[in-house]
Amino acid sequence: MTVVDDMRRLEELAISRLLEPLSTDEEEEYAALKARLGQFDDAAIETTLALAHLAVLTAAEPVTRTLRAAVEKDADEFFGNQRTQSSIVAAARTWCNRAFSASSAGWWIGLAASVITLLVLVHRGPEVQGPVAASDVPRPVEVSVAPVVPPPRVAPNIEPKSAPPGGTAVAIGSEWQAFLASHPHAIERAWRAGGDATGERVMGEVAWDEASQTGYMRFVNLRHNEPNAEEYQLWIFDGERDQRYPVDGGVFDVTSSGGEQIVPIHAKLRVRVPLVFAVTVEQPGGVVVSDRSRIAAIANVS
Amino acid sequence: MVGSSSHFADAHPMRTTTPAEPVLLAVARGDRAGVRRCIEKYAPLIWSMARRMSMSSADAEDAVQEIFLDLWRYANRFDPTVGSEKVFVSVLARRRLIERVRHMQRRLAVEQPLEESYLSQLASSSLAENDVEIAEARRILAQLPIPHQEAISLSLVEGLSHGEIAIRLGWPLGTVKTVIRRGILRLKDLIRDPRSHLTKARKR
Repeated sequence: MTVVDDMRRLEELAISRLLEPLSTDEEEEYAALKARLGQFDDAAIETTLALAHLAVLTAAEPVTRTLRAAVEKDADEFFGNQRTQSSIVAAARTWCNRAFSASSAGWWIGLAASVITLLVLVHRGPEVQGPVAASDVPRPVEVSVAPVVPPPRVAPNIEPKSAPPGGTAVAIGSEWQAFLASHPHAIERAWRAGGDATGERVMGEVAWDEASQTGYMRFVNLRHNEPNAEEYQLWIFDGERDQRYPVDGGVFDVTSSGGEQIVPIHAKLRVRVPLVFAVTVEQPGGVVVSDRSRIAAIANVS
Repeated sequence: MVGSSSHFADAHPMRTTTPAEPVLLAVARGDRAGVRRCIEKYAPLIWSMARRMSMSSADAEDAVQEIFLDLWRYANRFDPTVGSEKVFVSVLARRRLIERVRHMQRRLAVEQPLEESYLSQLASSSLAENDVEIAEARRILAQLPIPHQEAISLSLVEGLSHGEIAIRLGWPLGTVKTVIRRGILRLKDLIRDPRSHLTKARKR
């Protein structure tokens, strides 16, 4: 057997190998020839087969609308998840920037809040992720940089406007703990200032359980509001929805400043891929579409 | 399917593709318009490949979705200076299809009738008549005896095993293997042959 013969035999085996599994003997022969002959271009064989496949495939058949929609949805998810790493978070930043530019005072307050938040994030170390980090954060550590009013165990000053019928309008601190304990897969992310003065010192977390579509928000230092003048409204950016129309997470009030306040989330629509939670200040009763001019707090999921 | 709106409908791609640009380059940089063009361009091809190498239309649909996910993942590996975009897509599609066939330990039964609904959708349009590379490959394979062409087609397009082809054609198993191997090697040799139109086409 010459080298040429061996190479030809190796090519034959490589072709068969790409078409169906070789027998044990053939696989051993293939490995031995490949080792003996050194460099062998498997890719050339595979490319030739692909080219031959295209050559003998005589007709292209149209795909059904259903299949095309499924492929588009897959692409949507694939590139949407990639976008989570950049543009979605950038959208949240735009929210902040827009709020900062609302007034020079607001800008400086927002900047100060951002610096404080940044310091807090740095201080917290890797457990609290930046806007583009993708790893999950099991449990944020307690914040110890900014001044925090010792949190009471109950928060009777929170009055969600959209509490479910028969449900309590006031969530107590123990419910927060109970929620986390009963929903081990819930995501939990830290709030940061959104640029509006109401949230300049805001801290706390948002917890969301995708399976049950339930969640809670814990706020510290979110400024109280006058319900007759303005109210807070939660928005949830869903990776599978148009980012111009985040899911309404419910309207709520904070009737006294300071302390820990727990608010249940009442998403109006199913949230499939939560990307960003944002609290805005809106007119009494909330709005259908926020102008995003006043953002009190933001929590990035990824 | 989830009935949510598509990102693509409202997407504002950072860059737009040009007609001359390989669509995979646009996909590689996450250009949404490019992704749509890629689906438009290759879905019929991939579907045609998948349906013939799958047990059922549902199985083929799953395969198509998996192949496109592979395309999204590996689009950045495509180098237009090295080879044809369509062949690149075909290589990925074949890998996935073969993996599925082997994983599920099954082959498309020779006798299995095609679903009527899909038969009715057969398009009359030929594949890649304007693709020089593929047209040349077709010309090369057309020089083989017709039974040999049929064996190659059954193997590549229908995904039949050598044993199944032997039964279908009434040939000894060894003959099937030899015919297919030689046919593919002939194509490979002619691709390398500088006299081949294919080589000329690649040099353009």
